Amino acid sequence: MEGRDQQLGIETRDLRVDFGSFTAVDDLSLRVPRGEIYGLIGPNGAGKTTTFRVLATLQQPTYGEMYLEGVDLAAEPAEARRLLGYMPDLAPIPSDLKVWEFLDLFGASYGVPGRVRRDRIAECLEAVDLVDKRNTFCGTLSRGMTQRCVLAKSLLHRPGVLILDEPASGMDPVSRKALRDILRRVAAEGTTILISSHILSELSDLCTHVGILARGRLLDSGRPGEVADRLGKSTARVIRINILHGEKEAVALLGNQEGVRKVRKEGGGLVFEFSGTVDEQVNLLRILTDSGMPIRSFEERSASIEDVIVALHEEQVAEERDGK
Amino acid sequence: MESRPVSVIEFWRNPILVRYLRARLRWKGMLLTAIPTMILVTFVSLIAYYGGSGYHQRQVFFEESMRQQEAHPSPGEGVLEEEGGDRLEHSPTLQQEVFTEARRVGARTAFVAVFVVQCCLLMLWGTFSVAVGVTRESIEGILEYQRLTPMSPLAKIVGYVLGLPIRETVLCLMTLPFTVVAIRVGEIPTDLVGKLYLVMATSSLMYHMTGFLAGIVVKNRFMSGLLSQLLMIVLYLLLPQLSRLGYVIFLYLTVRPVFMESLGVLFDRTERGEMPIPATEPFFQAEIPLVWFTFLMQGFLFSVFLLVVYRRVRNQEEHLLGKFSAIPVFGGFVTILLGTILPGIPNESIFPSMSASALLGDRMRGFRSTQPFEGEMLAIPGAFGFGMILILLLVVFLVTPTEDTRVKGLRLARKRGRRSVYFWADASSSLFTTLACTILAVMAWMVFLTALLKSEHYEGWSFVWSSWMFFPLSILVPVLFSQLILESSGRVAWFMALLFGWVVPPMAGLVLGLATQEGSDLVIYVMSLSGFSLPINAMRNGFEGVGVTPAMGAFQFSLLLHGVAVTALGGWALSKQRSLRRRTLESR
Repeated sequence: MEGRDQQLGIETRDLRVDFGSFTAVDDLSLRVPRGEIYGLIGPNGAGKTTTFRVLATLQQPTYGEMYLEGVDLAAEPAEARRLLGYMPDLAPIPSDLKVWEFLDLFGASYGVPGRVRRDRIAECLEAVDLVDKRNTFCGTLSRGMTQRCVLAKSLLHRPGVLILDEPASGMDPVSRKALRDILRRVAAEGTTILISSHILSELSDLCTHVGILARGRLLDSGRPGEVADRLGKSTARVIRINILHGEKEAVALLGNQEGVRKVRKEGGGLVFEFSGTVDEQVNLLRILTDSGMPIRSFEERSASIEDVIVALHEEQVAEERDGK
Repeated sequence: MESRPVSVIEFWRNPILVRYLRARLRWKGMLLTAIPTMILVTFVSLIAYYGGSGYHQRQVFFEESMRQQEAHPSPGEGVLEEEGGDRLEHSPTLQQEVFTEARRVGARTAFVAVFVVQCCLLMLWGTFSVAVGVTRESIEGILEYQRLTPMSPLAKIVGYVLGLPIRETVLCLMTLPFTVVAIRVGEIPTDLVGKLYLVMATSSLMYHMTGFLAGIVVKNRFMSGLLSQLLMIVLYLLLPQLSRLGYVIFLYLTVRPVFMESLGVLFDRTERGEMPIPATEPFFQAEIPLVWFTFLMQGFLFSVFLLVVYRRVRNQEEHLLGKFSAIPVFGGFVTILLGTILPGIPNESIFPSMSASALLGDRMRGFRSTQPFEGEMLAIPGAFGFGMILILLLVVFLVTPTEDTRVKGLRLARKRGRRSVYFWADASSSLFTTLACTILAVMAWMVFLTALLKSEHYEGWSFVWSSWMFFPLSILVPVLFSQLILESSGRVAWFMALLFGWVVPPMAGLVLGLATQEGSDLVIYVMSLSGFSLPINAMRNGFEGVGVTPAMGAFQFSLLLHGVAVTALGGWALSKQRSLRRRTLESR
């Protein structure tokens, strides 16, 4: 068996999580160097939350090895928990406590001594810009403030690894920017951050590395720009045309063109996927007009990250099937 | 500075306790609960004081009047004079004496009344708060934050169990001045007060742990509150009724024995010719003081609950009871049960008819029955076997893995290069634990039966030679039947099989019996289809010296039926397990 890598903040090897016959995470191997911000991107149900819960020791994997800063989660879960700050999706907060009481509870639970705890609470409240809400009851905070408050709780014991499950969900643009600033600052201090989102653009300017997860499998990973480029090249554009009449003929004509797939009627127009180059796209439009089609509009719709990821996954499944 | 989470013993620094001290003792909430509580306690204690002292005065004056009227039958001769038509005047010395004693009795009554209110506060309201609070933390996800902290599971449990009912505890403490005044005025012995409050504290802890268990198992706030109250009712009101059949263990899960003993001392009940309350309880050959016996029983149940809760706080996915720990837990229960029920044979407390006749005989100075009914002599050991099956079903349910758990375990085993899961793992078969617990149950049952046959009440009775085989089988076969169905077919199939195979037949038999107005053989055969009936039916066939009872073959019929089912199920379960293993180990 390979030895653990002390230089990595987070490492998983062949992680698998099953719920009955459904495999939520399928042989996932991640290597996140210390101090990096790694974004895990994927549509809903991709296995992001399950991966995070397993890394947070809240759920047992079917199998797989996991290390946080070289500490084996299976062998030393208590030690791993000391290193970990975890913020779940739609982070809950006790409504009957004031903000400082909530932070004090978790500071004390992590064993941060009294005087140090007071200073850290002040420091963390300042970091998340909640100093003026110190004596406010947690139940009265807005969604964004709640997220920031839970982030402060997760930072309080100065974790080496921070796991944040969709931390920006429900936040307004100003809060999102504030969150990005905080995370950059924390990472600069040496904390490894694993963060998830289903929006690539949300993480692309924050993360140093991203991984694309779909149906429990890591489809691609690397620097955000590289991954975005690869995704753009490997997936089709969606084109929508509106014609005045002759839909049947148009469908037949499109079906014979190279690079055109999945032609379907949608909301009074025709929608199809096109995987050619921009020149080929211009050529396609020319073919359509030359054939006498009464085209009213021709628009290119960029695929959402969800479409891209699902398409990528389907391609991979098809390749595997063909390979067999 | 080095971070060090608080240990279990530093409970005053426990963050979860401190959290609830802050959240549940805020001024507004406290005032809203403390004012009504204080009004209630003031009302109850005054009513009890004046009611108790008034009753005492009336009773003494009445007895004195009767005594003097008997001594001076003609009116106008003696010291008695009628005043206002219904009031008799007594000597100032007597009045002073009675007044002093009445104050004492009144204060003692108030002490008891306040104690009852305190018990309600701590046990009913406190347990409810624990159950609802834990469920809320669990649903909202706050419990998960706590699972992530490096505090030990035990420290977390201590924090919740002491913290969640903190308001009720403080309210209870606020009523203590009433208790102190009542103790002083009522001249109540301090050892009695100490015993009562110690038992109240241990009972409260045990019930709060029950609430914790309900809260951590049930995923609905309302349902967990309801379940905790139902458990309270079962533990406090229903199970103690089994003490009438000799199962005194269940009586000591409450404050009742020590409370009743204290009432006897407080109001001199023995001097007034009422039933004496024993100060000790027999356990095997030993005589244990009631208060220690209560600690023993409550301590055992508390430990079991603690074990279960510990497992769940540590890991939400773990079975409530581990396969290994289930065996000593069950063994402990069986030992305590035997230790408390065996002394009931010579002192006849296990026979309801004799207990009732003893009570009536003592009260009415009438005849006392010296021999239980034959039906009762068969039903008592049969009920023991039936009870064992019920508890074994619970154990089987707790330790048997679902198919998902087994698949997960096999995949882990495959990853580690093994062909099977670890023997004691949650994912492994529960067959061994089931067999081990069943053997313990059978041994306990046989010890009980042997002790019964040695007693004077069963004179002339002896085991039929085949009993040594049939009695164990009458517990083993139904329990195996249940385990095999649960492991091979899942919980729904298990529930349905028990409902239609074991619960419906006795009900149908009863209806049939009532409809035909006779106890025909058919009725007995229908009832015998139930696995629950096996140990009861075994009693009818297992002893020499018992009169002939109808449908003697019903037991063998039912045993054969269950035996065939167990053999078939065993084969099926084995092939299913092999197939599951093959599929899982060979799959990707």
